[in-house]
This record gives sequence, structure tokens and C-alpha cells, in this order.
Amino acid sequence: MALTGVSTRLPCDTELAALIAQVAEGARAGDPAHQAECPYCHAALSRIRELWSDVRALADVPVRAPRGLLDEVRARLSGPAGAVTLADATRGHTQVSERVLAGVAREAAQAMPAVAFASVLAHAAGPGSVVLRVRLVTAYGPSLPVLAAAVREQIVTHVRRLTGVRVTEIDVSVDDLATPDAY
Amino acid sequence: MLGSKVDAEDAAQEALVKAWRTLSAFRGESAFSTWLYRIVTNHCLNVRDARRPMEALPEVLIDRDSDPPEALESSERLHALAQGLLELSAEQRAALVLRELEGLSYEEIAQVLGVSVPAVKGRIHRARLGLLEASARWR
Repeated sequence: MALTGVSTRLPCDTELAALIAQVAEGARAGDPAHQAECPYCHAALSRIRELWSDVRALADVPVRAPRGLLDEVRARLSGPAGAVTLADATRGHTQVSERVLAGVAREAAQAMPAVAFASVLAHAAGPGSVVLRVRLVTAYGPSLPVLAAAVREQIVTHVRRLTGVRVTEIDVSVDDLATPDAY
Repeated sequence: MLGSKVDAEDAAQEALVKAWRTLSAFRGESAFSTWLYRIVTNHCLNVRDARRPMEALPEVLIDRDSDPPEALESSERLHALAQGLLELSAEQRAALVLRELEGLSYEEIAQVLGVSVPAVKGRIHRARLGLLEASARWR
């Protein structure tokens, strides 16, 4: 932006920047004796003070977070909230959310000694059934195919017992090996 | 920063979603608030690059509860000031808003904008001069 309207130096040779710093930053006046006498400095300072009182007023305008902001954010982060409806409902439906199913599966996997960390994504797959994607950080040692099979078994059993939901498919990926002190 | 309430609300939402998704990238090299400012500011600068809206000024500046004549005058002045802010370049405005409205230090602003402290001082200096020039027109 071209500074056509505002010369950066006053006719009395005072830098406008110094006067702005005085008002905006509380800087000390460069030449107080000159400033007390000089009409240019006076005029400039009063304009700057007026502007800065507006700036401060603007800073004091309360800013409220938009209504529903956190709800919107939560909804976007969790995606469409899926749930599995249990198939054998006779007196009203029972639903178990994908988040709960993922949580049960994660706890079940992490209860195994060779699993240091598990992360699970659950997708509802029709009435009473769910598909899981499991990512593991495991200990060094066990055969991974054997471990993956054991994790599947453990998860299927626990999810079935605790939630009544049938796990129709589990993808297991071993993402990393844990160092011994990590778990 | 954006000059529009709707855009600001979108930016707040985008920034929180992005912050949550990239939380693992936060290494504690700066204060958490500085990191959040960085996400918000970058988003705002990107939005302004994509399209340059110069419409709707923030309605919140009109305080309908206060005494009418005085409130009207002060809200008009704040509108004029907000208009002056919008006439600055996005980079200058970002630096000035972080300094004058959010009260960040030069060092914090440098971290938020990813530039050096002298560059921040230069931007704020030019922004203040620009604002002063704009104010000469609206008085």
C-alpha cells in the first residue's frame, strides 16, 4: 500500500514512526522538550492517540465462540455416528455404537501380553454384525501370523460376549515393534 | 482477520478440526496457544489467497444495547477502523491483529507467522502507518 497520505516524517523532521511507537508501545518520547512546543508533533500525536483509542476499543469488543462450534467440530471428527442394531431384539431395539465396539476390541487386544498397543476402527456391517480394522504394536518374539490369529480369536470372543455383536471380519496390521520399556 | 463473520466461524471450525487431527505434530516447541494461533492464521491467509472477499463487516461491532447516539458514533468509528484493517495486505493485517487485538509479543508473532522478529516489526510498522493513512480519510 502506497503511503501517499501520510508522510513518514513530519515537517519538524520528527519520524512519525517514533510518535506511533510512543502511543502504541508506550515508548519514551525522543525529544520531550521539542514535542511540548511543536504543533506538528501535537497534531500528529492527537490523531494517533485517537486512532489507538479506537484500536483498543476494537480489541475490547468481546468475541464469543460461534454457537454450536464444539458440537460441529465433534461431529466432523467422529464422522457419521454409526451403530450396530442387535438382531434378536424382541422388546425394543438395542444399539451399540461403533465407538463402543472399537473400544471393546481394543481392550481385548491390549489384554494380551504380546500386544503393547492396539488401535481399532469399527464399521457396522448389517444387523448384529461389525467389521473391524485393527492396528497393533507388538512385542518382539512371537510369530506374527500366530499372534494375529490369537488377536482375532480374542477380539471375536470378547466383542460377542460383552456386546452381543458378531464380528464378521477383522483386518489386522502390525504397524510397529515395541521397545521393551514401552509397555 | 477475514472481514466476515461467516468466514471467521468457518475458520474457527476448520482450525479446531485441523488442530485435533494434527495434534501429534505438536512438539511442544512453542506454547500450545501459539501453535493454535499459527493454525488459525495460516488458514485465514490461505482463505484470503483463494478468494478476496471485501464484503460484510462484523456485525458484532454494533452494540445495540448501549445508548443510541453515543453507541452509533463509536460503532461507526469501529466499522471505519475495521474497514481500514481490511485495506491492509493480509500479511500486515495478520501481524497487526495478533499484536494489537490479541496482545501477542513480537517473538510469539514471529513463531505464528514463521518469519523473523525484524520482519514482524516491519510488517506491524507498515500496518500502523497504513491504518493511520486510512484514518485520515475517514475523519
